[in-house]
Amino acid sequence: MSFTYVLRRVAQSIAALLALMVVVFVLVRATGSPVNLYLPLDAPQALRDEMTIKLGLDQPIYVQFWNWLVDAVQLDLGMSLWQGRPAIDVVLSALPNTLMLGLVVLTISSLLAILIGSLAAFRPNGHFDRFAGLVSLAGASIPDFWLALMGILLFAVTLGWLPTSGSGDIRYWVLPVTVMVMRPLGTLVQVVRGSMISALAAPYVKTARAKGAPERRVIFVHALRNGLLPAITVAGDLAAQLAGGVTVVEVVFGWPGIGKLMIDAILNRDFAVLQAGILCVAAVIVTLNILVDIAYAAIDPRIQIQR
Amino acid sequence: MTSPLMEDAGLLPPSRRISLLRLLARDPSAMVALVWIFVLALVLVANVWFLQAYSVRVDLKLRNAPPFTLDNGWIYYLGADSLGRSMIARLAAAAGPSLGVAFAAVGFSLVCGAILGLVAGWMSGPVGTLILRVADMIQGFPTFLLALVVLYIFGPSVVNLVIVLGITRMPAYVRVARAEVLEIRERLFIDASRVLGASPWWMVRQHVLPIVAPTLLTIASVNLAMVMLIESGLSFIGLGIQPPAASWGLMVAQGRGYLSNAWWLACFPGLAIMFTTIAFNLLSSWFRMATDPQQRWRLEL
Repeated sequence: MSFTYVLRRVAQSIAALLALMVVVFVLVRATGSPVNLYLPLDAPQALRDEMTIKLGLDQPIYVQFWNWLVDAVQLDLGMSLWQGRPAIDVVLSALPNTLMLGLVVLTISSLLAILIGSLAAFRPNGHFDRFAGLVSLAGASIPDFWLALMGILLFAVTLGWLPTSGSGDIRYWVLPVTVMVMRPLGTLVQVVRGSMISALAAPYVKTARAKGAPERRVIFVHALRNGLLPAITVAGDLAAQLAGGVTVVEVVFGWPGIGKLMIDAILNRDFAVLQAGILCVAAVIVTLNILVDIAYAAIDPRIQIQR
Repeated sequence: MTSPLMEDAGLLPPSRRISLLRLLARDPSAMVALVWIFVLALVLVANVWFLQAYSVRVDLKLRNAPPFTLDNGWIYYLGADSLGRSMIARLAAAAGPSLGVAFAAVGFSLVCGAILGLVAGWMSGPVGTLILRVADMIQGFPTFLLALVVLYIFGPSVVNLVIVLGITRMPAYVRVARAEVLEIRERLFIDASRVLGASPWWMVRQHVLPIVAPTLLTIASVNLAMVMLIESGLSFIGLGIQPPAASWGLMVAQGRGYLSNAWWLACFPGLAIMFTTIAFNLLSSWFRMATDPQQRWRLEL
């Protein structure tokens, strides 16, 4: 059952990726030819034609797409006009930076959310619940690029404790991670709190208490296992958003991730990198979605994946 | 999820409608939020009335004048920017575009999302499936990246910004509207209506929309702050509202270069964004609670 399901999901995802790439392919070519950007204004027409032909831009768009697709299957996503090396290399050197950052951010915010959310659910309307509410409000309200700038102003410019931008040892991670944790944390806290409130009211929690299980065990073992299920779905969605890179934060901190790369590719009209970037991000997201579905079924035996 | 009470929202006697306003008065945080919205409204009026002139008046003697001093007159109380323009007037001038884009985008996604969702739910054939699949694709892709690519391709203008933000937020409305329609469609009063010879359009308008609308409005109220944050981010990057028009996100970007010697240039517009999104979020959670029968008692205490 499970195997055919996975196969079908993969097939569906590949169809979706193809559809996405057709749209991107057409849209990207609607922005104008890179020839005009890379050749000087007074370049002779012959030179322009030569470059157009060399890039294959003179052919009908469906021929261009077919050629691109045949190459893409062989993991050749074209050359980056701007950096003069294969587009896939450019994208694959940026993608890990974003994924690492996203992974750290998601891990930290999940752990914090589980802790804060569970404690808030333990006593609704108590002090801790108010704090949880405040965290969520902050996450949904503070502009991240502004918080990043204020962080740089305070900790890098004024106090000089942390570097302003770039990537390297752990000190370069502190500000970007802190800024980026805020939003997923705010969302996850509310999800964990909500599902924990209903989990703590469930009969099996009463049973556990009646058996004399210590309160800490009741909250963090009995209730949490069931309370976590909705959080996993939401975390999956958040992971998909993070996989695209939190572009503004990457730009502010000069983080060499996929978000910043896409901005640079856009500014330099680098078709190949833009296409490769979108394809890779979409592929990561599709994989994540399938993994979340499988994880969901693995954790909750009640869920039978539909054939 | 809130439909049971909402169903009779249109039938409430006048006295209970007033009590909805009383509920607002009982929630201090919602009141604070309302006061801030009121201040913004005043600022918008003042901008049209006289502040607009100050927002473009360049005074190089007052370049990067520091805030919190009345030496240069109250109009420079929040300091001046790198061209010596009053920060108060600049912030006021930026309020219009920032709020306008957010409201227009949310309105656009609400209306189009509702229509598409109703269609997808009512006609669950290939059309419905197609709408849902496209909505899934949009929802699955990182919002900001999508907006970035599309805005670059079609050029950053206010109209494009509204359309892009509207489309990226649309899937939520489509899915919720569709799910509710699928359920409502099977109810007895729809059958009765059909037997009486009602047209599909009439049934959707008279029977389905009143039930779906409050839920969609709740999503819209949550989305308002979110859309404002995305807009300010796009303007910050340079793909949103373009100079000489002003927007709070754009002002933060312009102040970025003066971070070490004139912090107020980047700080104040960010605060303006934050206060506004906080106000929207507080009001939306009040709205959610006040319209939810299971939560309403918290406000009625």
